[in-house]
Amino acid sequence: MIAPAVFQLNVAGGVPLLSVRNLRVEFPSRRGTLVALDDVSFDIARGEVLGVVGESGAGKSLTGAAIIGLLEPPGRIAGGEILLDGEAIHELRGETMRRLRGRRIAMVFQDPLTSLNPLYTVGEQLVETMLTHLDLCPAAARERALALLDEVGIPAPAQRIDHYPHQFSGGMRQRVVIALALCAEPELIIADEPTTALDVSVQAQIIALLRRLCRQHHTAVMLVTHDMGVIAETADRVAVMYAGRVVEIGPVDEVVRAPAHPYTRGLMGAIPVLGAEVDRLVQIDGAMPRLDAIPPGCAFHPRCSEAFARCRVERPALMPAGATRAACWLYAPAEMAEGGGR
Amino acid sequence: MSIIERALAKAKQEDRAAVEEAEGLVHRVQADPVADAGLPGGVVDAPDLVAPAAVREPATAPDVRVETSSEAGPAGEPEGTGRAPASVPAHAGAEASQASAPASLSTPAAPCAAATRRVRDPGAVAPLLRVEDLHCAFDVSKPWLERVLEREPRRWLRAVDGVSFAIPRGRTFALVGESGCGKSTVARLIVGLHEPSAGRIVFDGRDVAEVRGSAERQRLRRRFQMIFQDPYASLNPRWRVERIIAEPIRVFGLETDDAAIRARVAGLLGQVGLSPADGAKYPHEFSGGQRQRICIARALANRPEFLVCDEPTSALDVSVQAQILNLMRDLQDELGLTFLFISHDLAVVRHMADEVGVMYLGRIVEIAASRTLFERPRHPYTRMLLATIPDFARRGQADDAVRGEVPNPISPPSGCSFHPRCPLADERCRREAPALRELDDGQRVACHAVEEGRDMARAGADVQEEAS
Repeated sequence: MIAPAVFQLNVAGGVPLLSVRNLRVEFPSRRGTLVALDDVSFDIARGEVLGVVGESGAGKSLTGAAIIGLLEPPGRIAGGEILLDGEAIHELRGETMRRLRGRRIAMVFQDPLTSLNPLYTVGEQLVETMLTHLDLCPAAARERALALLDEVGIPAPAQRIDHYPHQFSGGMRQRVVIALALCAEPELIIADEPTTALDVSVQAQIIALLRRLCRQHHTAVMLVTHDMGVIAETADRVAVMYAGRVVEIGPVDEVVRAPAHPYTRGLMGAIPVLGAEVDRLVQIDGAMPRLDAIPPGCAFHPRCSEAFARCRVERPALMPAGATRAACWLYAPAEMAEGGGR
Repeated sequence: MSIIERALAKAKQEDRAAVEEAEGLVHRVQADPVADAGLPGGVVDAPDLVAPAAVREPATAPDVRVETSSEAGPAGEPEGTGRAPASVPAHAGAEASQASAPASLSTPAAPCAAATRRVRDPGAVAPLLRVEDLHCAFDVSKPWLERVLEREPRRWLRAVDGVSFAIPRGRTFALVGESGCGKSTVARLIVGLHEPSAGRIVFDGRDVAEVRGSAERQRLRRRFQMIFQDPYASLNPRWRVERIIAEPIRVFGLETDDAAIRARVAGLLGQVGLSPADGAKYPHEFSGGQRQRICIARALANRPEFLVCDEPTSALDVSVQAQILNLMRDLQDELGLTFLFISHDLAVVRHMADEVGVMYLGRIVEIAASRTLFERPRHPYTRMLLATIPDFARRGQADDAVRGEVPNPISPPSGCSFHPRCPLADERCRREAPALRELDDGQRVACHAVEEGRDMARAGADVQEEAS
């Protein structure tokens, strides 16, 4: 159908597969409402891998949960919309949402042991998922399950299909979970820290697998992780989140090579790089604000070395900054700029 | 009475013998029928494991072996190593063992020699900490009754299996490896949280195990400290920060006056980048990075010379990780600290360490100066680990180099434990465990393929690429 719009910032041709518009998620609490996501907007094209990166508490997992309708109460979507193929899904409830979940949007969680049922064999779980969502007879479903297990690189799938999750190692379990996510041929997979619980050598294998399968099945992926390295290897585009907001979004190569937002720059500088021998890493002083104390204006300004007056009062929207888009007043168009941000 | 005593002694002896069997420390061939019946695997394994140890350290290996087995002392000790060598270090004391160290211990001295070529301060030659042929096995057997009923042997997890290294004063030595490779166990052995089953830990020329008497032990303990991975779990949530930091000062009796303690705590808080007023707060009021700073302040409270850092930044976000790593390096420069740095993150290790040991299933497979290791990795496992690091420059390439997973450490593969994942493995690798061998540039590798030059034939191009 539509070729993945890898290099485009906005998906020009046709409707994007997923479109998140001004999403706002709130947690009402006794001490007042906490705004966990504020004005989050992005698109994912068909077959595209969008990386969502940020530190813990930035709201990246919450974005995934909001899309698939798994926000834990009292969290709720307080504004904005989520469109899947042009159709609003943020108001779906109950059975309609359940039909969509797993069928059109699948999820891969961080810990494979908790996302598999320990009382059923992996084959039963795969078959059950397929019977729920696809029009298949049990025998055909089992056949497909076998093929899927083989595809995700599980040796001897004919025997392993009747094993229980505890008989698999961590990496193999995550492969099963990926098979489970793929089995109903969803259009979008939300992978929430899929490799964080795994060892580095297994992580590399799982990332390669995820990338290969999604290319083959033409499945779009929203890859949520805190690891910039994983994003750099896997994603086409990346959205950097900070304090519940998207601060920068753009093609991975551009964001990695020439980050525009001061926060992204700090984040990239903070990662030790093998080739370069530096005495000190770039450090961003301070820590991300708590949800009940998000500063006015740009949420990053107290930690930003380039902050000026406007940053403290007015919140920047995403604006073009080189090849990416960044929410930073440094990139305000000239006629709008005031105070001068170099 | 005497029957019970004898039975207890026998049981103890059997247990001890079983430990040694499992450790592969004793060549006892069919001497103890009980142990034999109980541990067929151990007996088969033993010669394999002893051989490399002997190759590795001709001078020290007999000492270590005698030292540990002499206590249990079953009659049928076929090796006939006398007790004399064991008693030498005990009597000679600290100075003598320190003096004799460079001469007699070829292997542990080697990293120092290699290291001095690129030291910042060339005077530091004598290692502050030396670990010799350290072993640690955990008993993972079922309960006694169950084991007897099911006629199962005792099972051992060899968490650390013959690890030796030395850390010169003021330097950083890093241990890297995947989970379950024994790196944290090494850290815990060094600070005394576990008892080694065999081997020696020599701190500033003194064998830690030989320090007797609580006063003397405390004097030694004061000189090293540990920073743990999880700053949420390692701070008492009911204590105020000032009490947490003052605890080592009080325990070691460094200051007795309350005002002096308070001043020192304030100074420590300042040193790690917190404000003295933070002392009155509780740990939950701080973020992860700040908590790790508190942990560092506590570790520095007794003015240690040596810090064991077990994954100090793994629980932190990258921007905070950079703060902590910078802080640790600043403190090292300022206070002349020596670090044992443990991490699974190779990029962090590259940034922090002067020398790196790569561990796999309880053994060190490669030791080299940090730069050498990252520019010219020799062991196939090291090469594989390096291939897993996401590279911002060459993204999108398939990682076919990486395959397999770490096997279960309770039943490690025969021979070289890496052989099922190794692209260079052959028959010898499956049969025989390789010993660490020194290459011409001070790099030490435990690999048959490297020793035979098989790696260069197949992976020469690879290494070149890695180096460039």
